[in-house]
Amino acid sequence: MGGLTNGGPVQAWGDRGVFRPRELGSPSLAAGAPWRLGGEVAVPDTVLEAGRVGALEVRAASTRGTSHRFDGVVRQDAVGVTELDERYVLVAVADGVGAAADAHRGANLAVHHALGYLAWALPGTDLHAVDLVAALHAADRGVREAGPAPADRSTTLTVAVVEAGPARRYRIARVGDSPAFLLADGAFLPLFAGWDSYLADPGTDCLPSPRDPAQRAGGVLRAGQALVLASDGIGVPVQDTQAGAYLAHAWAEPPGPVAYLHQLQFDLRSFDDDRTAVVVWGEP
Amino acid sequence: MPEQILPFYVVCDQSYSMADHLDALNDGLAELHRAVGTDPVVADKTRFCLVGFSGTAEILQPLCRLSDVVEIVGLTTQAGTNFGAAFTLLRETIERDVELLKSDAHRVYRPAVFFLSDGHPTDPGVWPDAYERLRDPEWPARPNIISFGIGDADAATIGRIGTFQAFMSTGGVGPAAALHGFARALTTSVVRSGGITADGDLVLQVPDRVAGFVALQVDPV
Repeated sequence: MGGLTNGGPVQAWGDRGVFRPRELGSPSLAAGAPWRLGGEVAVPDTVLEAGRVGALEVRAASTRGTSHRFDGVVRQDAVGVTELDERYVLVAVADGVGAAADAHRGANLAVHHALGYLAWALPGTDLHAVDLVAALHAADRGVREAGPAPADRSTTLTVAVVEAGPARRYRIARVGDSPAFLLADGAFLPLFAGWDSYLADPGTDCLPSPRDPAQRAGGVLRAGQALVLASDGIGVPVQDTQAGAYLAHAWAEPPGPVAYLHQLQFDLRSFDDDRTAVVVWGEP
Repeated sequence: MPEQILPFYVVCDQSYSMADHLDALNDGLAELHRAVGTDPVVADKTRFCLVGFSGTAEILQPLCRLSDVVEIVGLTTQAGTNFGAAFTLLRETIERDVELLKSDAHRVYRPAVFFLSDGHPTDPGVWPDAYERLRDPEWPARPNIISFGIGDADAATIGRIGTFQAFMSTGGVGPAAALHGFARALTTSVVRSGGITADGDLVLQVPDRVAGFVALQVDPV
């Protein structure tokens, strides 16, 4: 419950002091409300991963938005990062479609099957030849065949492979609107074109059985640049609000793992969706 | 500071034929005000506007954050039931509000209209044209409309006005208690990633049952 700190006003529920989420605008009411447990043992509020692979620094986190925390709803984003023989970093981000009953399950299945495919396919080939779209197909099958009512497991999926060696090439493929960026010279450069619609439109293509072909991107991670895969809980505020400048500054260099999680917890009224981001820095 | 905003327009018939229901509606609006003001998830993302109509239409509460309003203006009965005036004012108001929000760099979601009436318009030859302008597919800010028929309402008219849901009162229960449920369901379903229909429209998750009401068949737009 609330308490007094340094004679200040009664504080909202949650972290205090250096752990207090950074307010980037008008504080949200939802951020100060007590969380409720999500009800799924296998899907905790937050997952955090970090590591160094060759010349790459990796940070990854997926964390419930204030709306799911307030409502006691399970996190519907999923994230997976892994390394392969110190040669590659494999990344997957999935944003379970909010309207689907088992969106969190779809998101986790998609990440699991996509990374499983890449871990199987890559050792026998190289980045240039590996079929990223086949990884999306493997995820599509995994989501569809996991039980009845596959549409209840609808999810976006973005996968990426980054070379840990000196070349640091990367390739990305996705179904749905989960964004990817190159963080370069203090700015987030989108790697996929967004829709320029008059009204905000959360509708997205998704697994299983996507409507549209997969989208692809690729390039080389130059010294000091970072590759960012995200759910739109991070991608939207990064593109449309001061969260972009805040995170670009915070991620100029790889932060410590706990600092990274704290940075994702910024408070900005109405941006209450689940937040997921993977950042892969190339060593300067 | 850019925000994500879902604008709601509550449009209430305050013609004489509604006299028996206005006290319940006013109580319901006060309850909606209290419920939304204390529901952080809805309060953070929504703005509300109250429109009353009879022979003319007027904005009783301009679009605002409900948690910023001390008290909602009450409905009072007047002569006439001019649906056309309500729809014309709505189209002008939504157009202006959305432009204003967008000019402040906000991300605006498709507005929602709750239309409450006993469904006996006194301008039968006029309102359909005004209604068509409100749901014009070429107008990017066209709202989703949920209609509620109250009292001795005309089901055919109420069913025609709701663009994706319409309800008829079965007596006793006022609709305002249902509005918070709708506001909440729409707020969560429009803001998170959503599935899309074959036409590319967002699938909205809203209650298909409302206590004290029966759902009507709605013609797809």
